[in-house]
Amino acid sequence: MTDTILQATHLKKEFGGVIAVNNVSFDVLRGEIFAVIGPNGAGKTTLFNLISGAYTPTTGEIRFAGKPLDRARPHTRTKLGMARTFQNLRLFNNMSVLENVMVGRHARSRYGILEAALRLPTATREENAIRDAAMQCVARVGLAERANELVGNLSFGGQRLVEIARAVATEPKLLLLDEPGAGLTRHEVEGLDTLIHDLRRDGMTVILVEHNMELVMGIADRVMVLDYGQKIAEGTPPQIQQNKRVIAAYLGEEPFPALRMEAHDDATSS
Amino acid sequence: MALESQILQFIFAGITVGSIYALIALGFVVIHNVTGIVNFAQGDFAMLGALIAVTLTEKTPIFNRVFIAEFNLPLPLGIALAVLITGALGAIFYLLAIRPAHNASIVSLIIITIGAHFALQGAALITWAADPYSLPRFTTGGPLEIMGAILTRQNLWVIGVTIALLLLLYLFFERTILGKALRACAINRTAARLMGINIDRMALLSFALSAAIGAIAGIVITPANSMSYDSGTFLSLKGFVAAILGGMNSATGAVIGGLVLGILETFGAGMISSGYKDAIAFIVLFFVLFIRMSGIIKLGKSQVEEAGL
Amino acid sequence: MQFSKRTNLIAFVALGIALAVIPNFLTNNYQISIMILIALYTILTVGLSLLMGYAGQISLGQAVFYGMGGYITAWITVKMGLPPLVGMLVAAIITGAFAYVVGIPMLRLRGNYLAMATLGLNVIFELVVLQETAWTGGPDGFQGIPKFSLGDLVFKTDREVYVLVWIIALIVIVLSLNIVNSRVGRALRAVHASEIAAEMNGVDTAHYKVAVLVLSAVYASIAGSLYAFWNGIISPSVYHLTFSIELVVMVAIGGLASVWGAIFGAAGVTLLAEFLRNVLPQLLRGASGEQEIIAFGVILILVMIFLPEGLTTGSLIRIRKWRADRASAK
Repeated sequence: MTDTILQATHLKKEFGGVIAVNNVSFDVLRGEIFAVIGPNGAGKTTLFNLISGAYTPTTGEIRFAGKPLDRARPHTRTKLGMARTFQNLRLFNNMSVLENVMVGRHARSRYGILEAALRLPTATREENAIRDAAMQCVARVGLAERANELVGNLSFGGQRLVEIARAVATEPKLLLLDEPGAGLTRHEVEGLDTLIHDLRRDGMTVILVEHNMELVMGIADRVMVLDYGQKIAEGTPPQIQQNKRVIAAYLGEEPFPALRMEAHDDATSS
Repeated sequence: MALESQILQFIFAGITVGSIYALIALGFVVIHNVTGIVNFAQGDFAMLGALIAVTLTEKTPIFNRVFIAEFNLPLPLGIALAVLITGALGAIFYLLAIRPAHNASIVSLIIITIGAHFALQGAALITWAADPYSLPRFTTGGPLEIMGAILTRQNLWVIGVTIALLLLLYLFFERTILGKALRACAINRTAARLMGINIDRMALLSFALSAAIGAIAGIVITPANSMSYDSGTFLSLKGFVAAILGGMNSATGAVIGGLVLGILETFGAGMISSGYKDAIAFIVLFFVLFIRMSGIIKLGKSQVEEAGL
Repeated sequence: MQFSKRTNLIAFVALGIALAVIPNFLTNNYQISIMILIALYTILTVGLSLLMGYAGQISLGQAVFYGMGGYITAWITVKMGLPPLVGMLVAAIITGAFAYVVGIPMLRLRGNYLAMATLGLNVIFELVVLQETAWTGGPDGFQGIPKFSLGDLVFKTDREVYVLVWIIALIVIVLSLNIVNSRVGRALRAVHASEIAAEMNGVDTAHYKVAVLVLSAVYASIAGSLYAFWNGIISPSVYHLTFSIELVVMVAIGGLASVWGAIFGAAGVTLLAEFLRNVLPQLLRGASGEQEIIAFGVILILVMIFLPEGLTTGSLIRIRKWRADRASAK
């Protein structure tokens, strides 16, 4: 399977004269884990907002599974098979864990106001299906026991997992994870690593923006590097780690600290 | 009357009423810039300022005519005191109703200021009953006639006071430390706090200042248009529309918005239909909101913020 | 705040029983008319609570839909001589369609701007009703609106109207509770919590905002029709901006995101208003006019400061928290 699920060509996004993303093109292959890295302010989140439809590109085009997305609104993209999480959590704080994830089933269910108001059999049947599917997703991220708690009661790491469960509940072909490792403990990051591998095994393609280089380099098939809105490199993790432009872009920011520490640990233990 | 003089007459009337809208709008903008709150009770401060000034200067029956207030202060002193008292009421409103709800949602804050609007209106009704009051004209003398159009002396007072107040506010915001601190809050609240500016005190000041500006607006129109307990509602609405016309965050915008609204209203009422005079402001509002929205909403600042940038 | 299905069912049955018993204790028509008003306001506030409390979209123009219901019903029954039921249904359809058309552009506005736009709609509606005398009867309004009837069954006396309006109010409550506890209700609450996250999870936010506005408008229109049948006369003063704001007050005091809160708010505010209207003139000699608004203002501010979720939801949250704290202390 080497077909392209997402194809971005010459993407550009301008905010009142400031160019956040400049002429970026890339392909993401079906079933791969594709990471986007870059220093702060490189335009990674803007890129995510373009892909998911929160912004429309100033110029350029995005194709999803071969079809141009044009100005399709985010909820349409979700229906097409795209889901995302947010860098700073955006959970529905007025709902329980399970209800949050049940919202994720919205695009995969259809009963409307009338069926709901009259509580027709179709509504009840679908509601049960929604609950079961959502519960599976909650269980999958290991939160089954806390399903009925208000989402705000969970730890930061727990809330991140709820966001992922909610996104997974939409049955995405392509999952966009915006810094899923930020603010997690080392232990939680390991769990995340396993979870992402699991999701890929189920056939999901994953694009992730991430600062945690250990996670990125360990998990990604390919990495794209952005700097000042421009793509400066793309390749496998080893290629990226040796790329001079990447190292220069990160100069003074210590590009792969975690990785070096890891290498050091390995050397002493062996 | 010749068409030109009729048009000129509309313009005079429009500028006069527009000046009032501009002052109310200015009050909205000052509070909104510093605190992010839209104060639906803004017009009630104009009503309070005017009725307090009347009470201080003339024999006035109050509390359902149970008492008769006989301060009989000279007009300038009465006006100055009324502005100060209203400013203090603005500060009290902030301390009692806004500050305790410091992290409320926008909907809650709207409801709080609506509550304040009710409370102030009710208090005014209890104090002054439903009677209309007016102040004497500030100066005596016949109206001026310019190209066949008539400009009363009170019109001149309204326009003059507006200009003078704008100049004073300009000097305050540009030349004084306090004014600069207020502006800093408007530009970036977090940064202002980090710079050591006391945000709470600035918010208090903004409410007091807005209330005082509102009081002045109310006082200068009261000789021409009488004022009663419920006059605040429409002053609030028109002032808010003017503030939105001007972009909601700029003092210059508020003034231009007020004048444009005033002139459109007098022309609309004079030439199209006087019955729909009060609808004009809102038709203009819809027009502006939807035009701005069609261009802005997709890339609006709030949207950018909400998308997590 | 979500209640379990069982709690909802118990509360609903209790309300039904209370409503069946209450007329036996009402001694005069004044008391019955207060109960009828509470039913009408319940229909209005339940709709507004879906819009404001659940979906987070403020409306300061709900009186417009109430008024449209009344005027269209009056037109159809008085001028066209059609049966009351037809009047009520046609009014609901036209009002719903109107809400749909104005809702599409208006609900793209947020917060203060949405509040202002809906308020503007109310001001314009009032003026149209006053000015277009040929259609609306101007300041005098419409007279001679027939009593509601279904075939030979005529709801004539206030006690009969009481039964009618409360049956419809109860139906509205059931439908709304069902909506709240469904895929649609979750979508509405998601819009409230984070529009962008709702959208990213497949919720067509624009569609749901308009849909809930239309629903609240249809409720309001039905309440407006019922008022017209009951009163026989409608005039512009009823549809004043103040009424729209009072409805927001009822919902806010009762509890924003709660169908039960809306009912509680409608009843509480109506009873309080009547109480103050009777008591204030005795306290203040010669008091006249709507002096009770000062009490509303103060209560509203206090509720928003101390129980921003409203009296019902707010106190429930406090009680649950207190219990949880006590349990964890043990």
